[in-house]
Amino acid sequence: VEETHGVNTHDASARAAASQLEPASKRFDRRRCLARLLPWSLLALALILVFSQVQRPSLLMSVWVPWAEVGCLAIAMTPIILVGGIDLSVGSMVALCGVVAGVLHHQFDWSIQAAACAALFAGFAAGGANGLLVVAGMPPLVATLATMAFYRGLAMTFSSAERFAGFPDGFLSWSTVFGVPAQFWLLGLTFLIAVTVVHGTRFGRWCYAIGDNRLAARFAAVPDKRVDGCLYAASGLVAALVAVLNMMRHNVAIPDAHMGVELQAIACVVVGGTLITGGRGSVPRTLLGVAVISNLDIALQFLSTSVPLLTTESRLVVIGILLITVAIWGERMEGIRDR
Amino acid sequence: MKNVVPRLMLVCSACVVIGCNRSSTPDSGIRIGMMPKLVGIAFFDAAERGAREAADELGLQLVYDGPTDARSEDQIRMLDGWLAQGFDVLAVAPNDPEGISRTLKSARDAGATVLTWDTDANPELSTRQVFVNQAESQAIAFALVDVMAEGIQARGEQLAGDYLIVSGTPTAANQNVWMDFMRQRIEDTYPDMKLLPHLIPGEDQQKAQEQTAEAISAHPQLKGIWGITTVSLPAAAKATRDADEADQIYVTGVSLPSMMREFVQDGTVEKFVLWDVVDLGYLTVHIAKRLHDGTLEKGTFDIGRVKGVEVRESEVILGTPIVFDKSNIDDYSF
Repeated sequence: VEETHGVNTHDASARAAASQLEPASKRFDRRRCLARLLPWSLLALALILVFSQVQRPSLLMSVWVPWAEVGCLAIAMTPIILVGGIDLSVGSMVALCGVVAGVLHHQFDWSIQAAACAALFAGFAAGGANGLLVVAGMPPLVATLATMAFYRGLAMTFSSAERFAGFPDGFLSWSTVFGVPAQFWLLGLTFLIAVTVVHGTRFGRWCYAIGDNRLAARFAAVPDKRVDGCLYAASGLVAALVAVLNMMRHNVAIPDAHMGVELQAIACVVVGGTLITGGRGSVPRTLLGVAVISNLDIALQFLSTSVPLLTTESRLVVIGILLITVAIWGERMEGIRDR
Repeated sequence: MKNVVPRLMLVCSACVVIGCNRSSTPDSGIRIGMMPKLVGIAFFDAAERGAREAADELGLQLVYDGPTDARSEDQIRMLDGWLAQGFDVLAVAPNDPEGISRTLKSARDAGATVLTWDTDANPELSTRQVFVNQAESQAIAFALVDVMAEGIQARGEQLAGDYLIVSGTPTAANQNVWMDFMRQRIEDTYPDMKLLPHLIPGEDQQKAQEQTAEAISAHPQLKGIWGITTVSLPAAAKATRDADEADQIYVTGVSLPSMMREFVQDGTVEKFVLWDVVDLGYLTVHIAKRLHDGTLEKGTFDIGRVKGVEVRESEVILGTPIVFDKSNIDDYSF
């Protein structure tokens, strides 16, 4: 059973407990299949709709690019939510890192490579600062809500609320690598790293243990504060990478861009089936969540060109209803309330 | 209960698939995607009316949609979607001339016809084919400054004092170009006018009104305010009226007759500048069609019901700006 493998107990007793639960866990598996059915069928439906509307399939990539960015952030968000935290500041961090690179390149004449490295460092530092606040005992929601405003404010101040446009061609040419937008490579990379770390290392098992019961984990000598710090810093670093790739693609760094992207990322994590209270979930599921939400959104946008009822506003209603359905469905089917 | 839900879902999805297949039956005509800076403001609603009229005349399939906030990244998302859907023509009023350019370039590379209207993209980077301009940018800017100067002199006052421009988003190309020409006009012709740093409240009437009110109380020497978006002029007029300063501060700018009627009638605003917005939308669709068919030629023509349109190398000019006042404001329906 997935959710027990994180707990750092003695194997023998765990196995004994698991064997006692055998019939129950079998029933559990059927329910889990049912729980997976809804997101997968939604995804299939959305993909059918998308592909039935597409006439220039080669350009579908660029439609997915913004969602690949959301996906990167969502994957970095997953372990944070697993330990029972949340990072609301990712959108602001993306904007801040873009502005840092823009200011250094345009106003201080740094080379674009140096400016991009500085942006990465800024993201790491911003994420690390989030981590420090959380480690110092602030609730993650409050801490990152504060830094969300703070980093956005910094971005607006550094840039005087202006955007920076125009970067060297050599830099822009990296926006696609082997014909695929760089965002997808970053998505693949963060996914591989996250899967390896969360599902294949002791650090990952610590995450589950902390999310399941922080106090118990602490008694089991799990360095929960260090884990927290690392996760928020990693989230900041991913945000910075997203910012740099976004600059490559659009040739512009905008201080008020990527607003609300944190909520999209959180929605992807939750729709994937990770518990918002922590302790249960996985990185591949988040990828499923990203796929579902993104393709639903794109399908609805495509449909809106032929169905006049689907305005920008009513699309949000449809997406909201679908997401609530998926969330309730997943929760019921996995029998969280039964436990 | 558990068996009902998946079945229901299946039925629903089947309905949606059927519905979408029916609606996407191939249309013989060309598909035009026309995107304003944002939807939901009177200016772009009026432009939509004209655009639909032209699309009906020409038998085109027109999709008129845009972001709910004047944001470049939302425009890019929608444009990428339209492009993948195989739209033949994209006509855009970009919120950021630089940020949109790579997207427009990829549209051109994919074989779409690309034009801008109302406000331009970066012509070189975006490789857009034509910009449908409402009027010569210089003519609009000079008209704005002249209306202000003449209005104040007609009140029997000196021009010397502080002046304020309330713009929209910081990156809007049309407003930024107008402001450059306005500064030039002021420097050359009315050096007594002293410009304060302009305000950029976004395309948001509430914010524009708040920021203007703050500026009015912060600058007692304020002589005049230009609101150079259709949203910021009524906001500036309202702030001035609420501050009871309409006698001291001359307010003018760019906006719609329908939005300005109350302020012109109560005397807060005497004159303001605009062009025929409905015609702008109408002309854009006509130009888009001709551009796509390859039949757009240089010169001055009547296009559809619009008289005397000037077609240049990469720009189309709708006409000259109109100055509205009490006498003619009721002649316009937008």
